[in-house]
Amino acid sequence: MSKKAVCLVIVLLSCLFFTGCWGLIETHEIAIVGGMAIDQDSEGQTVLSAEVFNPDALLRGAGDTDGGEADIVSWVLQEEATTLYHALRIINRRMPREMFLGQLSAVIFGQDLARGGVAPYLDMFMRRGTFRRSILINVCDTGSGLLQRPFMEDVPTETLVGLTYTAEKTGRATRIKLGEFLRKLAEPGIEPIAMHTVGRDTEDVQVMRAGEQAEPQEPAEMLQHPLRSEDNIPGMLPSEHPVLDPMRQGELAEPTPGMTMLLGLAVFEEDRLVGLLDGNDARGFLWADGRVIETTIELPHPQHEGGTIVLEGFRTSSSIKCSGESEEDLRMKIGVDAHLQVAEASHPLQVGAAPAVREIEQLAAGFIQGEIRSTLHTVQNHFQSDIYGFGQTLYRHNPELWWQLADGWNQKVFPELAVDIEVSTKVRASGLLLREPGE
Amino acid sequence: MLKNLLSMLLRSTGQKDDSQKRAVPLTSSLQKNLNLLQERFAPAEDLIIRHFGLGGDPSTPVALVFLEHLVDQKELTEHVLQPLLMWARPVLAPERMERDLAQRVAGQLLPAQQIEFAGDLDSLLGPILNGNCAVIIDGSPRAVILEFRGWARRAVDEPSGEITLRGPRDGFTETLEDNLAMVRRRIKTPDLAVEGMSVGRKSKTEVRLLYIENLTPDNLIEEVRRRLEAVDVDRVLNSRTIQQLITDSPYSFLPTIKVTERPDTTAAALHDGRVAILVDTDPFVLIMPYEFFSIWTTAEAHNMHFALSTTLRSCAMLAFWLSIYITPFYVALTTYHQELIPLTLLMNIAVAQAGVPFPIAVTALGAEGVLEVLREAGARLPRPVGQAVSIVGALVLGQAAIQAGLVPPGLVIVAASATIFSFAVPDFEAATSFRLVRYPIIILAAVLGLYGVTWSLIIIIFHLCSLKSFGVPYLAMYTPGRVSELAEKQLAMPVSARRPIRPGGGEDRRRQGRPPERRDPGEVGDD
Repeated sequence: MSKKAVCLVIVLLSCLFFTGCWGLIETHEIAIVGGMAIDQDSEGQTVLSAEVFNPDALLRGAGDTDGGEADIVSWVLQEEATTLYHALRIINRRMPREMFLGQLSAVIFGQDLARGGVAPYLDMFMRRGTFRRSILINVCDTGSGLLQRPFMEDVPTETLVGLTYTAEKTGRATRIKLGEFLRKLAEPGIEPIAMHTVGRDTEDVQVMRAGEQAEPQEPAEMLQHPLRSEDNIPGMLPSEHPVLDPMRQGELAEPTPGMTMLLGLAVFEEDRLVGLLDGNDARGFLWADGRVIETTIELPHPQHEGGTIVLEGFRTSSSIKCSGESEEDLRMKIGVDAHLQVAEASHPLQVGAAPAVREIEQLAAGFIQGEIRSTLHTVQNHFQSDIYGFGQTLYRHNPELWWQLADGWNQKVFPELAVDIEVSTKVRASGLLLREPGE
Repeated sequence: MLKNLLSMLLRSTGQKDDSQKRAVPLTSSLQKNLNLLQERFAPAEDLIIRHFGLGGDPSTPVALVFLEHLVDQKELTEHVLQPLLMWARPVLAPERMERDLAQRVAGQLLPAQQIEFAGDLDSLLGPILNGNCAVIIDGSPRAVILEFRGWARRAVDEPSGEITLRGPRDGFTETLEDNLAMVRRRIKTPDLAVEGMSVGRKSKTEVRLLYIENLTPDNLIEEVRRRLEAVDVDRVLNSRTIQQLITDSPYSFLPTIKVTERPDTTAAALHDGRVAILVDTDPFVLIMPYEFFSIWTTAEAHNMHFALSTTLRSCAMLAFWLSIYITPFYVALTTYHQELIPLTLLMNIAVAQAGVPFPIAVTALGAEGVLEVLREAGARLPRPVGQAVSIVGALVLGQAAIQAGLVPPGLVIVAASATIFSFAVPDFEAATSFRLVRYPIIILAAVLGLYGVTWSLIIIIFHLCSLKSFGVPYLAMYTPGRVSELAEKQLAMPVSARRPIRPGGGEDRRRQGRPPERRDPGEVGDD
């Protein structure tokens, strides 16, 4: 017994000599990679851009430079190689610290690359345990111009992550994570989607603090030029608003170039990008998918010719049901349940009586149904990718029939599928206005 | 019983102890008896032998034997010397001579509450050493033992180790009788059993075994008694000695016997069907069996609103585990699992760690070690100086270490909170000893990361499962069948929603304390 105990203690203590063998690494020896962009160049090489944070400068805040040189808050490092992992290694060769991918929060695929298929690039994310399943999957029009100009946040990745939240709140996109993407990629009868981002010039105007000049920069330039905190100029109100800041003189700067925008969703068939759903088209899918968290819809005013009311959707759910026992009479039914409230009305709106409410509800239901129908039409006829998961619904309903139809489902069956759409809406509140002013 | 004890002692030690081997009977000769007594005693200046004649008559010599500072001398003069000297004549009347003189003296002359007779040397010595006085009369082979004990004793005071805001303020003292009285006053039932015993070959420390009959399982009482009788050491100067000798697992970091200074806690435990051991000269009472959840139950729990005490109890439970695991977790996460730390925090840690020359594991062990020393220094020094040490240590040293870049600030917070968490555990003894476990766990975390931390947890759980306290499994409450009991115990439910929980499963498990129907006084008047 005591011999055993002594042996155990010796074994345990000798473990102390092998700490390095288990991949021990101290926090200050790692380079935290926040985001990655993957694209292809004309010769078919993989172009990897990785954004590496500079914690020291980030923690101090972008604005605070202590009067000296502005700090670099993050570096975007780019390298070409045949494979992703190799590119990572080449990048790492240039850095004194080991790249740490465990905190990666977003991956952006270039559109051209995505059209050719993303599976070879996703392999690394599946194979290695370091990656979170919550990495946001994006497709960007401007290739690896992912790492666009930061806006409000200090670094581009944070900007992108923040944008996904606001997009979700406006019903234009939803947060698509690596886990979901991989699951839908692997499961038959449903196809994956991703977020669609784009870098573009905006009409917004940056307002400068007096004495400072904004330098317009091209997105492509950003990739070679390391980001500095001085690139990120805090907005100030111009002197036309003396109440807020009478001490400062302001001037208007150029329109902002290279802003990251989150436009909508990217539709995949298996691992290939087949189409983009932007704006209301994306919402048309999200209604059916039950993933509209918050959104606003504009409807014609039911009680006033030419007027408009705005409804806010705040809770939706959906269900897809399947009926029919053969290919001919196979029908899908999308049921959507939306809770709405009146957010704005251009003219007085009476919502005291039940018929008035019902009228609004019917208007809204018709509107939502129209959006779903329109998107469905696009997806069925142009993209031919079952992102709704009708195939899965069929499998649950009638497995034998599914196995008969599974082969070529997206091309043969899905485009011809008869789909009923049933929307039930409930107007839950009309806001704080009980009586219209002036009544 | 004593015979058993003696034979066990002899068997286990294998050596002969003359004083205990055979009883030396007293003789009828006073002088011989006194000689025996004096031979047995080492030179004892405080052993008083007062010679006088019974009723002032030198024909019947009598000796009063006692230890000077252990008896109440005023009482002794009034109630022993006075009657024996002045009012003894009727006792000596010839017509009454047929009965034993000692018996008559005791029966007619000595107004003491407790009178015993000693027929041999040992039964004479014991009481004298315990502070009784002996009257030895010439011509009688038996000595009269009278209890007039009195020595300097501490007043009943609030126990400094277990302070409550609301609740009784009395705590046990060093005097066994006072302690017994405090318990008796709380349990007014003839069922309260008090068994006397003395342990320690030389010290002969008085010990009392307390339990409530019909409530405490017999096998539990039997087991405690058996272990107590088997105690075979020269000296028992405190309850800790007994605790170590009768505990189930003397090598475990976790106690399997509860130690308390509070009579109310003791009374509550007795009502729960536990056994208490009171040790003379020690204000700490041993209570057994002890279960795991008792580590975070306080005497105060039922003196507060149940929601508050439930919260505090949960906090204490959390503190108990965090005191061990917060530092290993920090070490494991920052050296192996950076992906589990929120980004901003990770960057903070990285920036702080960048200026520190040592690995995190080394700084963690160092910081914990320094805190341990500081805690000990603060506890040992006199109170005013101790506070200064705490302030210098905690504030100045900590701040300086951070500024000198020896320790990252995050780690100082973690190590300090681990120490504070260990203070929040109500069972001080469990917290302080179990706290040591975190050092090997920090090493495990530094070597194996969370894998090592998980292993340590598995080992601790195995250990907890293997522990038993007097036949009651340590984790008995956590077995599936007893979830409701666990919930009641952990949640500190109000009295009306609580059942008495008896570790050995004694009778009377009915729900008690149903509150009376609440009536409005006006309603009562209408009846």
